[in-house]
Amino acid sequence: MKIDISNLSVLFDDQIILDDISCHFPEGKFSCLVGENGSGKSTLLRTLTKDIDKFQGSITDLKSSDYSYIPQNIDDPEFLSVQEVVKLGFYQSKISDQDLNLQSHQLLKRFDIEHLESRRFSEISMGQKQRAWLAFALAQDKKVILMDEPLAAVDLQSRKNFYSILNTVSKENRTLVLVTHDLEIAMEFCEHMVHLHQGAISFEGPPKNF
Amino acid sequence: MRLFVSYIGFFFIICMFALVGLFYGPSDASLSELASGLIRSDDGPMEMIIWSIRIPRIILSLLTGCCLGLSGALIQLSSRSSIGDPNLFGIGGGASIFLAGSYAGIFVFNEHWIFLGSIISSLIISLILSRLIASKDLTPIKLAIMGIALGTLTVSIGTAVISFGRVFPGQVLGLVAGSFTSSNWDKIVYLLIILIPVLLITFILSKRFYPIMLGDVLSKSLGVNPIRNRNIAMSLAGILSGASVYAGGLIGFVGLVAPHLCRKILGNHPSHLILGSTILGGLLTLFSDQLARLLFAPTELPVGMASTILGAPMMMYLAWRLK
Ligand SMILES: Nc1ncnc2c1ncn2[C@@H]1O[C@H](COP(=O)(O)OP(=O)(O)OP(=O)(O)O)[C@@H](O)[C@H]1O
Ligand SMILES: [Mg+2]
Repeated sequence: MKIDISNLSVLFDDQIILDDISCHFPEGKFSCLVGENGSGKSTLLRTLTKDIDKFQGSITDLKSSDYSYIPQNIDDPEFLSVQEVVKLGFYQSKISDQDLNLQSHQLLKRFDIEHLESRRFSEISMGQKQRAWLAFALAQDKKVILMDEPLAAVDLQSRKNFYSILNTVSKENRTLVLVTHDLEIAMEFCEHMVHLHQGAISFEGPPKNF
Repeated sequence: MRLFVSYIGFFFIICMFALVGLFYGPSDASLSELASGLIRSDDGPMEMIIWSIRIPRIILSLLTGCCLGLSGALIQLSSRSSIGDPNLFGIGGGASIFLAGSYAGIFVFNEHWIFLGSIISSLIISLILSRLIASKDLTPIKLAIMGIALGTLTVSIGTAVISFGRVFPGQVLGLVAGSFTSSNWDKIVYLLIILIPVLLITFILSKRFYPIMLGDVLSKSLGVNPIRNRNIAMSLAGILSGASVYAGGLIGFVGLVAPHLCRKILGNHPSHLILGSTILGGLLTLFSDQLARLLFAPTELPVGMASTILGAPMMMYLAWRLK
């Protein structure tokens, strides 16, 4: 599923945050959304997921069955263990309990946190939480995956590895949008790049042209 | 296996407290006298004490506690706050305002309407809370603070209302600090009419309430409408706590402690959380009531005091762990 954004404007208290932007995120590709702090990256994702519902212009209408989303700031879920969070990712898929255990375990393993599965979510480290949210997002098996700086606290060694996992995932005909500040790694792994500057698009295209 | 043993354990502990409630008390009758009263051989005073006072009190305190425990579980599931409790957050306070008005003679209704009025008053407060939780920038801690403020407000309004009429001090104390001295079979029937259907509905919907714990944005992406489901969960919690206040007044902390204890013992699985919180709420309230009744017998303490002695340290511990 391709995401199209045309002439999108978002205002907060009469202040223009996104100024008449048009861009797209192609299907089956790993797209990165970059730009300095406050340039409007999170605002763009929040508009796509209808967390912000006041805007002008037109965007692809994403239904809850179409996308999974990792917001930039997520409150720790109370009470839940790491494994329970990842299992909730399978909420919409009808799989047996046995498959559920198996698949969530595999996902945890993919992000090297299988040893934490029964720990309380609020009691693991920041980077470990981000790994768990990635597992949660992939568990949902959606066509569109939107991620807002999901790797900011992940150590550098693993970060490259996760970029390549995401690249592989996008090959399953999914549309991946990753907001990030790691320009170098992004240039290496992503196939489509959108650069925001003060609420406007200053570059869109293949990263080699950036 | 472990779950099974725990449930059996709960059952035995409840039976034990029930026996204590049956055989100990101010009337100082011998065991054999009580036993003969129990089997309804005659219309003597023992039969009166057993069948019209002690047994209804045991059952009513148990059922009231079940309502509180389940209500607490529903609030904690849907509010993302670990210190969710129906009476702490003013939901029970709604019913207490209504009951205060009725005790003070501000309005005169028959029993059916008083019961219904209590439930509706609590329902209103629970929906107000549900609205608050839905606002985007309310962190669990802010929510807890606002809930507690709302709780204090409702109790003060209730106390203010009550001072308009000539009310017996015992009645006031029973309302704001909890009491099962006026238990009877009618109240038991009222509570069952509420508790059984609500428990069933909660079981059926429990799976939908679960994703709300991840927050509204994420539960939306899982295809769950957080606002609608939270409204349902909070309404159920409101109905239950209204019924509990009608039956036993404001009994603090049971709704807070029961789900936490349940998670420790039975784990976090939705159906066990719901069933376990219900049972443990009943167990704790029965225990608190027996403690209140027997600790300084023949003087009775308010049951809410006993439950607070158990619950307040627990809340401090939870606040300690809060981030
Ligand atoms: N709730 C809000 N109310 C008012 N203004 C806001 C709000 N959220 C964000 N803004 C403003 O909108 C602009 C864009 O914010 P946004 O969060 O989209 O930036 P970003 O590109 O994601 O930045 P970062 O790299 O720091 O995450 C900023 O100037 C910010 O001050
Ligand atoms: Mg951002």
